[in-house]
Amino acid sequence: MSKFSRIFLIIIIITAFFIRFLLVDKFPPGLYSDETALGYNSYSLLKTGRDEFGKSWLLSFESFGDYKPPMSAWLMMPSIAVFGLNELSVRLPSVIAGTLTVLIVFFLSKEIFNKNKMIPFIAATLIAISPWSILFSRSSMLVGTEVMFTSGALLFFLISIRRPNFLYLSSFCFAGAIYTYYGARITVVLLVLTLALIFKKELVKVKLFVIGSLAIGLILLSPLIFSIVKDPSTLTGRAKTISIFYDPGIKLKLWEAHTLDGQRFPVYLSRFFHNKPYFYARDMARRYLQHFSFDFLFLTGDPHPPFKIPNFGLVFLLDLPFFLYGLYLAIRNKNKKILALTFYFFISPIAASLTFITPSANRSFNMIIGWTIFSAFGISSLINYLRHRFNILPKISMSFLILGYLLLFGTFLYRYLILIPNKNPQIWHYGRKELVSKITMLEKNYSQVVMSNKEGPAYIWLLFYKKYDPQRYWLSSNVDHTPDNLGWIHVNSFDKYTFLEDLDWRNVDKKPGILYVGYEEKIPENWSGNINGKSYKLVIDDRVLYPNSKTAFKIAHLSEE
Amino acid sequence: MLPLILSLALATFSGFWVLKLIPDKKILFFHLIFTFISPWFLILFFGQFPFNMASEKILKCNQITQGRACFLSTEFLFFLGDPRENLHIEDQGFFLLSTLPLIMSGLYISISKNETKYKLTILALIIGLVISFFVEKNPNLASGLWFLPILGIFGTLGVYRWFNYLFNKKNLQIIKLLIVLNLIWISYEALRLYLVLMLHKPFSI
Repeated sequence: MSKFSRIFLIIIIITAFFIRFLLVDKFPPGLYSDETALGYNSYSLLKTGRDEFGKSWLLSFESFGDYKPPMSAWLMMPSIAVFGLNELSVRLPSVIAGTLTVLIVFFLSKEIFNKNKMIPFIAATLIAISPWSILFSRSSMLVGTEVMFTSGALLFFLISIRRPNFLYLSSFCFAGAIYTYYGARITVVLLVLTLALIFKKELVKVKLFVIGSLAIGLILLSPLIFSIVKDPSTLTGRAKTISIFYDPGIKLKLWEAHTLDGQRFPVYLSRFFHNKPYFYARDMARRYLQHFSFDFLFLTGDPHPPFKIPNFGLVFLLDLPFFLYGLYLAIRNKNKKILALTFYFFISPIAASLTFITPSANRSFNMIIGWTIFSAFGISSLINYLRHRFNILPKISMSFLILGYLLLFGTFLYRYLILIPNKNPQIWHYGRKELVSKITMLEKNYSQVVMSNKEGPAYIWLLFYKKYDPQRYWLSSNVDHTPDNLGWIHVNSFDKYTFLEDLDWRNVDKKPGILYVGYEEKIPENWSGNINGKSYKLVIDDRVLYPNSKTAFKIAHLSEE
Repeated sequence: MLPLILSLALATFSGFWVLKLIPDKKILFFHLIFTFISPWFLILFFGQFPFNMASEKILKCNQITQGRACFLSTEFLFFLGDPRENLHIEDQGFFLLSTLPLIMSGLYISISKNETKYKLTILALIIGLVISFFVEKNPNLASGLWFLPILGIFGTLGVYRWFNYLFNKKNLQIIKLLIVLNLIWISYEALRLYLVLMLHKPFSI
């Protein structure tokens, strides 16, 4: 690599880091419940060697009943040890993983298109400014780290075709991905099988390295395998409750189809045409294809909070022609490395299509690697074509291209930094930090604090922002470990805090000496009534406001009139 | 009568187009089969209803995406179709899901060929898509007719290519197996489609 290329790469990496790192504690606004839970479990692990419920042998954290995979919490430990328990420490590993992914994309493109020097730089730049990548690098949502491991594993595997000892690194990264995210347990298996099929001739030549890397993978995964034998929930986590097989919609459709066939139609034929394997396969295909939809990729993005950017897709619309052209050239190309990347791209949404929450930006996040590299391939091929045909046009078209991307990136930043905090701050659980600090100031005068669990389990923010001693929490917590129909478990109380499914003033048990914390619409401005023969009125002690000045939470108590 | 005439006219027109692309009479047979397993054609052919463009019912492809935003989604083409009850067959879009690989193959063939007639087909698809997008704010069968027959042409090209591939001894066995499996799947879905049409009587045929 020339000196100029090296400097250019360093500039891209530094830019990518700053795009991901600057104000990461403030944007996205608030700390999402899953991020908070990972942060507190990591803190608990650091302090006690156990999780928030005091369990050891941590290969999955029970957390809200979703059995979170452990890697993200492990990676947070150094940053929490250095910077303390706060938003920055929780999100820093994701920022670093996101930046490293930019570097991986550079080298992956270089490995695949070794003759074309332009593609790696274009691909690295595209992923550095990609809304999809920024979204998951600036929040601690598991998949950011998982994609780093999976794409890293692919990179090392492709290098191993020239230098077989890189297979060990590939194996290490694949194991890392499996410890990071449940979806990777499907993606990695499919990717490894595909790579083995594509490169079987090359792998046969380096049998010893293959056996060695498989052994490394097995050793690294053996604690997990042992854990799965001990507790099967470690394998799937909450996946079983969000899988399509748990969705009653399919069974209803099946029942309806059998009914419409009528009584005179032979039962065996009715079963042949309307059966579970067909209905589930069709549903899976439907959900898989949703991830390639125009609206999902370019217009609306993920419809589910918190991954929604208002009126903005996950990738830039400008990518579309280049991506299609790049993909077309890739399919025509007989190069095995390009074929491997193509399969990686199409395998990526399979894990997501097994769940009924689709289309999903996080479960299909692996798509971003193929997307950026194919787009870069398209751009580079177009520039080369223009260069050979015309002499001046490339400069003009490049200028327009850069301007177009800058405009789109600016629009994305506006929506991400201005619109999300002002229009949808609640989706990132904004206001919890301020709420905990206000409760801490007021709670001394009350024997009990009653809070609402609506929109997220309130206990986790109390533990996190108070840096509550895990051992004290184990002693005082009342946890119902029986999962509800969505797979969640519930913390009913700890210390002086009690949590209700939804605190609604009309139904809540009203007593003096209690601090009530609820959503704006659930606690009235004025209330008065008799309790045990005495007259009381509701006093609002404080409020937490959203950035747009609307009330998020009210903190109130009953005062004798 | 208008839908029936329209369906036959579109099928004939696209048949001629296909024959122009590949001057082999066999392809007309493939085209006929592909047309008769396409739900959009069957709705027009069998349905008895006043056919109009404007659709009051909004197409929703997920919790937040609706109307024009669904226009280029696989939901619209393969799963939902026209949102109006009398213009769609339950659980089906405008094409059988199993024919998606055929359409993709046909599209790929057309892009790969450096011939004017194929380029014109691609251009016709683009023009059809643009017209369809602007002609109606709620995508439906009527607005889809601007490009559905062209997708049908790609489907036919796909069938033709697949059969040629199957009968060439030099080709890869694994690909042949995949093609056969897909053809079985298409046959199954086609039979199921006719079963739904005859037994469930979606629009009282």
